Amino acid sequence: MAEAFAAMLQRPSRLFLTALGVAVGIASLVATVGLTATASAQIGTDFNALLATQVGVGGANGNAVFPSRAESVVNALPGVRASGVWYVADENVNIGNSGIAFMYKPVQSRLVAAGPGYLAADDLTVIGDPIGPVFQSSGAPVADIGIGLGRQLGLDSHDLPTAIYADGRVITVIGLIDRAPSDPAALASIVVPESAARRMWGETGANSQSMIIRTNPGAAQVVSAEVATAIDPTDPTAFVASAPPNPSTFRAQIQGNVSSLFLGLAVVALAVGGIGIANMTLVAVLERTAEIGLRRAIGAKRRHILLQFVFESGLTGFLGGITGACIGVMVTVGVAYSKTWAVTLPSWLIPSAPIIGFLVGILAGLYPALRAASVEPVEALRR
Amino acid sequence: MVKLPASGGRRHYEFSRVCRTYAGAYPVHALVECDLAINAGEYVSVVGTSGSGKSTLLNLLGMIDAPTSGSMLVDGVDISELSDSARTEMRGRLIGFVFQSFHLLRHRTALENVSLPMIYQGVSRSERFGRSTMALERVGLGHRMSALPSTLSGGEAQRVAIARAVAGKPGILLCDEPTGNLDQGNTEQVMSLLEELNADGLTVVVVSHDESVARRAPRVVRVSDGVVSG
Repeated sequence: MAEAFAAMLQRPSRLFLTALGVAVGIASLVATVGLTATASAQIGTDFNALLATQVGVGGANGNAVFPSRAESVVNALPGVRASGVWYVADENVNIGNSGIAFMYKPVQSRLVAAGPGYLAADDLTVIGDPIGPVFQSSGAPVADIGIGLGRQLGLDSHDLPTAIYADGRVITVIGLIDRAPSDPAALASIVVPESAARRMWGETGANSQSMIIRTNPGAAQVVSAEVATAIDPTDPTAFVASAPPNPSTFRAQIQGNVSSLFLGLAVVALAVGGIGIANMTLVAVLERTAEIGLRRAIGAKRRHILLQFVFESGLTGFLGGITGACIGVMVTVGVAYSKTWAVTLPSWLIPSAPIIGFLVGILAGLYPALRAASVEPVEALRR
Repeated sequence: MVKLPASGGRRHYEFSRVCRTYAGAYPVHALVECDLAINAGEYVSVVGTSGSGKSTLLNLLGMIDAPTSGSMLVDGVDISELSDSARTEMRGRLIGFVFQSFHLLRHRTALENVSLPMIYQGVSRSERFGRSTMALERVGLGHRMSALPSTLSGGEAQRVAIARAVAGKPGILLCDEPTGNLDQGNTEQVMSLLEELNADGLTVVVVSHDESVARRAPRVVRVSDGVVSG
């Protein structure tokens, strides 16, 4: 071992360059595992609690008409806080402050026809009056518009209630939607009661209804499993519920998809590093043939020569492993810092890096070491 | 491990009808029916022209090559029956080598070079460096222990090589053209050292093409076309 160590130090620049190959592979490995662990830990921290309590329901074949009692049936399910049926009556309704076309520059917006529970289920916050059950039953032409749409029309909360024109139809804006954490598009939409939408726009879009359900935390998975049957017990397949991803499942998906790809690349890089060690060790054997012959002549057995060269390449891999671990940790910390993530590294990762490097070095050096051990002293000393 | 009779480091070598042939399209009979005996404590020179077979004889004596036929005995032990590992171990304990081109490790100090053979004999580090120090002082280079081979003159390098060969207390010193790369002054210095070591009881065998070097030995063995006489 001492002879191997001394021989390695004879050519420090060659040692460094050879170890660099393994260092790159180990750095890739450490960075892949470290970033995967850090990102998946972040999933647990940053996982959107709102999306985790939201279930969407639609028709199995794209089109759906919910029964009139759908919202009340779903609201009765355990874990449900609110539910609302909705559909888009017009994707591009022209909105303006005047009924006379040439007097205003129309703003195009999405017209949403909403059931009584829609605003609560979609977690929309309204300044002013929300279009609640009272307006649903009366069919009054009222609306809540998104605050972004309001700005385009020059409206704020002080102007409420105010009349606007949607495709020439008069609608009274009674509220401004100022928060839509799970549906940002609502901030640029106009939401009217379903009864008003049918009366003023007919059945346009009414065959493509959706339901949005807000659940208690942790209940989304169970509700999504039950809701289709609750809406239509005679044909549970008519509706399809989409549940939010489970944080642990999401985490496992990240670990599975991302890490398997980059781990594959890291293994390739490590293999290339190992080939580099094998190549340089073989060159060393050829360069040091006379030295090998001398050692054999003065009493070194074949196994002494084999062990010396195997250990030399193993040590090279070990140094590469240490260097790679440092680089990989720096990369992980750097990326986490840039994204303000907390660094998470598995406890086994850093200690295993030099060990992996050592094993790669030993494996790579095996063939050259066998070549060295087969050198006959009489042939070697003749050179 | 091959057990040799305890005889204070003095050995007896005997070749009987030893042949060494290098196979090939035209086989080379480097040594033919060689009968040779070297007693412990002798100073023998082996002389012959280039290609005569003298280096082949030296390699056989040093057990770094094996005969094609015949028997080689070291104090009654038939070397040809030993495994490669056993032969290597015996060689390490019994024989010290001195080469024409010194064969010192470039990046190791004189002291480290001298201690090298004792690593494979299992000698402890402290004893290795103790014996190496004594060996270097014996050859007059006690003041050059930390020197790298690149800073040594030819004569000094060869004396370090001799120190390396004797530090492990071998029974025989085999020298292959030990003065081949040296000037007259250093040649005289090295040959005098070999004579001193022989006077101390070490068996010395010197292979050389130089008659003046060969004549310094009490016994001269001549090799010509693979045939040994003397």
